[in-house]
Amino acid sequence: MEERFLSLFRLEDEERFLVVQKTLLFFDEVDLFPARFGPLVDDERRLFDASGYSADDFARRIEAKLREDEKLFRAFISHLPAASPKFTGLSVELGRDYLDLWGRSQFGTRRRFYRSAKDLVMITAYSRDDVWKAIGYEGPLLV
Amino acid sequence: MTTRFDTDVLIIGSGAAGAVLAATLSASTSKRILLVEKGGYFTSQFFNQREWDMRVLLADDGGRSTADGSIPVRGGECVGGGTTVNYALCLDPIEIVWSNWRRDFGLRGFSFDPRANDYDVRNLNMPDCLGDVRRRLNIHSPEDREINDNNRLFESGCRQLGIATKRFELNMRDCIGCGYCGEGCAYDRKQGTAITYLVDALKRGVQLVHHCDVESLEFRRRGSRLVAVGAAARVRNTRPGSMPNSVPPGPIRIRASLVIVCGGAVESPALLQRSGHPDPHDLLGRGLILHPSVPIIGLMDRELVNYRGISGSIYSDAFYENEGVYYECLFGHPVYGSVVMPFIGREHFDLMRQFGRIAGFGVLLVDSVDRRNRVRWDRASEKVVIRYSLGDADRERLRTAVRRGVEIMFATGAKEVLLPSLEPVGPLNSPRFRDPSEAKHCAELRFLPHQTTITSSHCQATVKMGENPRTSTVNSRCESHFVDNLMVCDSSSFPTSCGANPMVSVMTLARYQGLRLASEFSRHEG
Repeated sequence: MEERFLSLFRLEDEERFLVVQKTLLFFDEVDLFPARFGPLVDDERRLFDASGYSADDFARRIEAKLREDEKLFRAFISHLPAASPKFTGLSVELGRDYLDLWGRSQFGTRRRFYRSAKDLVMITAYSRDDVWKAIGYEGPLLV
Repeated sequence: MTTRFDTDVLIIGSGAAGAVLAATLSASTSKRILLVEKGGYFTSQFFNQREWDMRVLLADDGGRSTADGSIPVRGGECVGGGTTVNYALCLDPIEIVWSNWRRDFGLRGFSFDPRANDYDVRNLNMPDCLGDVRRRLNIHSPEDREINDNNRLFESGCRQLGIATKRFELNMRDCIGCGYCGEGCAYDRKQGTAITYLVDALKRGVQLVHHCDVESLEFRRRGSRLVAVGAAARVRNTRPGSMPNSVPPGPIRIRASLVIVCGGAVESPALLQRSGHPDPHDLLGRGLILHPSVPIIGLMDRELVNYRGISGSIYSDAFYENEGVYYECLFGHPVYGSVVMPFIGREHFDLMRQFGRIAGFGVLLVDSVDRRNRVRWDRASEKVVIRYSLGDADRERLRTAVRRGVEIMFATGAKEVLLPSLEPVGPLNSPRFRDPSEAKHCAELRFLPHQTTITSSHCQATVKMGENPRTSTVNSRCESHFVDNLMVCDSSSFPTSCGANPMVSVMTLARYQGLRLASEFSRHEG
């Protein structure tokens, strides 16, 4: 499967960027709109009861966070050209706006995804001499 | 095939503590000393001033972080340890901190009286040990001409607000001001342990093995006591660019009369945990200190010298005593800068295009001990897990400190001030301030993981010193309360934060213990 992905999408030839490349590929498989948080299943409820936390409190907190995220995402959704598009089908601007919403999510997992994707892209981009030139950074003194 | 060593002293870790101990012991005794290091042996020939390439000098190739991935936990993992990749910022041990440790944790010795002879060892006291370290590292204040624009701006901003600043002391010799201290000094001007104490130790016959993963310490039962007798380790293949190793890759077994763990506040407790070191009071790895820091970013209306010159030369400790806060001037290169800079896409790039006009410094919080913050060796994944979250009181102190940081940056003349954050504050969609009056919105910062970037680099206090085995793991000699012939001597030994950038405190501690040990080695013989 890894090979199939890599054959579909070539970001860089250099081996050192392989991790970034793979991450971006899998990122493309992420659904734009994850399913809502359903009611707790019995196993989850048992786990909560055993840990001393209130399962109902937890569910309420999750729902509240989802509602906050919904508000955040609603304006964006209204701009989408078609139902359930994939990320790579979006324009650059919409893609950026969508990622930005993940960075502002109430959910740590979504924010972590934003941060990881951002870090990978930035580290890759700003390791490059041509990008340094674009930002006026002279780079190492050693040649 | 297993390589076997029989030695008097095994030292694990070649950073601020391990190298100083190896040099001190080899100068004062005729003991056979083996020094093992997890990372590679990279020298100035290898340091190419490129952030990405130099990640091999760092733990987890620069990817080490807290378990939730929100706080990068930077640490050197190479010969020289943190002293190879730090910014050469030197702050002496703070006497009041050590006095408090004596009072609160029953520490003995560590006299700050230069006439003291602790443990009946001639001239064994903190000022003498510190003096030795300062001389060997050439610790000194930079001259006026060495202060770059970024540091001058920070100094002027503080002055505008009546905040006192100081000049950092630096362990450098004839610095050329390239600005790449953090990537390893390519000119051997930064006086890390790899080119100072380690060289001394190697000259005196200390054997170094690098790329060496110590899998576990070996303990034997002797009567009612456990005794450390050595370690099982594995030498990895030498990474490209490293000096050659003294043993081939493969398993090694080390027998030693004394084992000294100097792996730092993350690796040391993890090694003890996976070795089955007794921990009857559930202390090992707990109470992690990591000096959480928030970068303050300022956009100026003119080009600056920011990434060239000495990165950090000015700081303020004006709020240390009352609030436990430092402001330290530092500046990163584009990889670090781009990760810290908020936003993505066009907005991010527009900021990065002003790289030459960016000023920066950091707010550093001396955090409180919290048992929930810990380092743990996870047997299932065979990885170190670092759990850390800011307590409510620390969070409040950090808000106040960041607000003041924003005000300082505006006082430098910045036209905009940014925090590495997407958190909405007040009427603002994110903390991108265009007027000093907006600094008050910092009171609303929540420091949400992955939404506000908090950095760290000074891990401490995970194998605490003290005389009470119920509240500490090692005693004032850095000897384990529970295992004979085992010492843990590094930043993990501090009971709480040492109150500042820890390198010089760690080295002073190591020098002190090395001199003490040289005259008390019989405690570990027979």
